[in-house]
Amino acid sequence: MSDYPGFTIRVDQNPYLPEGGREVHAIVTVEARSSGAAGPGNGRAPAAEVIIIDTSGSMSYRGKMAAAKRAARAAVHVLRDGVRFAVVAGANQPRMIYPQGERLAEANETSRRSAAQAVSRLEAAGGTAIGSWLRLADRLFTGYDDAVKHAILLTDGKNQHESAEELDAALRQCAGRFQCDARGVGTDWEVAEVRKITSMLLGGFLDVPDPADLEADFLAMTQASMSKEVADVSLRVWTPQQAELRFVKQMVPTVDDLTEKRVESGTQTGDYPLGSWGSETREYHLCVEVQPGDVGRQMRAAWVKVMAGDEALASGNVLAEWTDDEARATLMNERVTIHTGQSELAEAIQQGLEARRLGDADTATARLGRAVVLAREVGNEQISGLLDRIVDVVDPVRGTVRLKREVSKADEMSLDTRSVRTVRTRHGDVAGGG
Amino acid sequence: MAADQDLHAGLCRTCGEPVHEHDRFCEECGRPDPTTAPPSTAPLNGAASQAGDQSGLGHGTGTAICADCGGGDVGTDGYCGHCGLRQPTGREHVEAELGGFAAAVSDRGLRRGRNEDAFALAPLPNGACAVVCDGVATAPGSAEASRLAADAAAAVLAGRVARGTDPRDATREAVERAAEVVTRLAASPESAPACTFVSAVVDGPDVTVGWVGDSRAYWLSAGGSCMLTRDDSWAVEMVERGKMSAADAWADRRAHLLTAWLGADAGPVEPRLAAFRPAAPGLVLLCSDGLWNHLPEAADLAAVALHAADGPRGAVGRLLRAALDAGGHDNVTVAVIPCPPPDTSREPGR
Repeated sequence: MSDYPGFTIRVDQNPYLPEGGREVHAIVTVEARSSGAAGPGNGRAPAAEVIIIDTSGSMSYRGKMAAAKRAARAAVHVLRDGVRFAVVAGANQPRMIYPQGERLAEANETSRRSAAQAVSRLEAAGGTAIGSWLRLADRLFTGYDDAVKHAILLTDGKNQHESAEELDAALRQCAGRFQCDARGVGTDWEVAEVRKITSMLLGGFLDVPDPADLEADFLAMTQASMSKEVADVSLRVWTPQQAELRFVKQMVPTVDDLTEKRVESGTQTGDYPLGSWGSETREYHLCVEVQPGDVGRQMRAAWVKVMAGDEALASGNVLAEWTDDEARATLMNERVTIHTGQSELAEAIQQGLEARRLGDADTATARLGRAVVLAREVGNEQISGLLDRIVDVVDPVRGTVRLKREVSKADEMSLDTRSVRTVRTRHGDVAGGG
Repeated sequence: MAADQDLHAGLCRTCGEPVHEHDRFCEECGRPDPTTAPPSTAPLNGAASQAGDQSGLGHGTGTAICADCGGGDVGTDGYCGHCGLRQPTGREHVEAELGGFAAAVSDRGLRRGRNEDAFALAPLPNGACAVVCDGVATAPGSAEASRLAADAAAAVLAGRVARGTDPRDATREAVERAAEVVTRLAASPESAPACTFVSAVVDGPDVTVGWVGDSRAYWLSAGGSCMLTRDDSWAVEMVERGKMSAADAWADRRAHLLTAWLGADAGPVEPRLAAFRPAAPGLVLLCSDGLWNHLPEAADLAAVALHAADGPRGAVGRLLRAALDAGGHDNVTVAVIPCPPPDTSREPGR
């Protein structure tokens, strides 16, 4: 047997469609559980970790550099023995901090101590060219094909010292080669830019308004990365001929539209990269448009499989059945409803904040008002709380709001960043009858 | 739907449905030991004998031709690999006949995705017996329940009556056995397959019926027709207790809720029985609610069944057609046994 964790797929949906109905929605929950037999370090894929610290000049303000150093040292200290790693400093150009020369070092007591000492000598100077930093990481990871390859990126500013095209080219080169989680510290970085970087590189990102929180955050990120057991998992989706897969979105832990990441893997199948997995659960929202069948007919609208290489680790069916029972056909599966709401919520926040930045108060008020309603409906209390710092809520049910006059940059960025962070839905909402 | 969809252990060799490792029966077609032993054919059960005639679907070949798109890639689970539509499983329409002694038909109807009704016929030394069961749609596995219950009960009835047991005692034993079979299917009390039950024994000049639930028996005769059963349902109970008028009770949305059924969540079941000796020749009709919802009155059923003197097979065909013409909202199952039997001196055929 392989060393893969045990995967299971669960499909939640209402398969019943009205006569002529075409759109099939389903929530696919993928859960991975490591076999209890594997002790620490056993049964895990080899790991490679590159820590990239922004050392541009602005990092010297408000204690950011000192906090970043503490965070990087903490991350280095939890690398388990045998992990290949490097620490890179990013400015107009990337620079190897540890080890010397473009290579990865093997983690052990000595190398961790040396790396921590090298980190302590970091100084802030220069600009920000994130694409070049990622390219260096990609070069460092070359040759470690079997490993779970993960980078941590800390930045405090916009990507000012290379063009947007240069960054895009770097992302295209790195996509599928390694995963990258990012943290933005301070309030001078651009949320949309970091969102794009981590979406392309299958990672997550968060704002860290207070530099003092960086250390704990880096620790958690590194530990999560160390717990991954299988790299390069993908979701393979079969759909019927003449059907169209409208979208595949990751919904938990964050909203991330995977639709454009499809790689054709057969005449009616496409693969969507899911990155590396430890023991964890994620949820995906699928929407397939099918050719309607006659009332009473059943169709397999999609066949989903978790793939590691050519091995299928779990599978599930998304079904369609046409009925003239209107009550059955119009019943919404509760998990589909909540995730549809969470997608729209993220969109409403991002559009509302963008309109606010552009001075379009009407659009901003309307979209953020809609967000207030949706956040309540889906029960996302964190987002409700963040919205309260941006708008005064007049009527939370109808979504009547007024934009606040004074809003801190940190609060705005926090809402923007966390717009994609969802709440988990409950299992067991079974729609329809047997 | 949307319940557990973990990887399954294999596919049923009869119908091609995925089955779990510990399943003793196929959830779809009720086949015992679905992934191993060769299919056992119960000759008295229309569904089983039909399944043997299937055009290779679900027999593990994966190369059957799709009736919808013409693609040659229908999987063992019945779904077409090209257009995704599920191909028929063999229970959509099932007919069986015991010469002139009995006939039955079961049909998916026009509105349901599958047929959860089942019937079984068996010859007797002086007549025939029949069982009709209707799977309760809200309990998963009920298609299997109805089929296993009908088969088990018919076997008990035929065996006991042939050996001289009183038909009423034989009916009680048959229900007990059917209840046992259905109860054993339950994975847990929360997920208990369930079905109704109605049986008829025509033994020479005598008719004995037994029932649990709302599948019915009627006596249809030129000399007078009537319903032989009284539904174990909410509406009938309300009327019997004098709590509501028949019109109000049947208009209530709870009207069709069963007050008795076979299944692990039903507890011990005592069937209701009726026995009589008709004065004039006629037909004993057993049916699921897919027929009587459209044609509840005995006289109307008699008009359809007795329209031509073409034996039980003609009668079940016309009754099915009448249900489908009226909308076919549910699965329709009809069994008919003439009484007295056509020629009791002759060895009954099948």
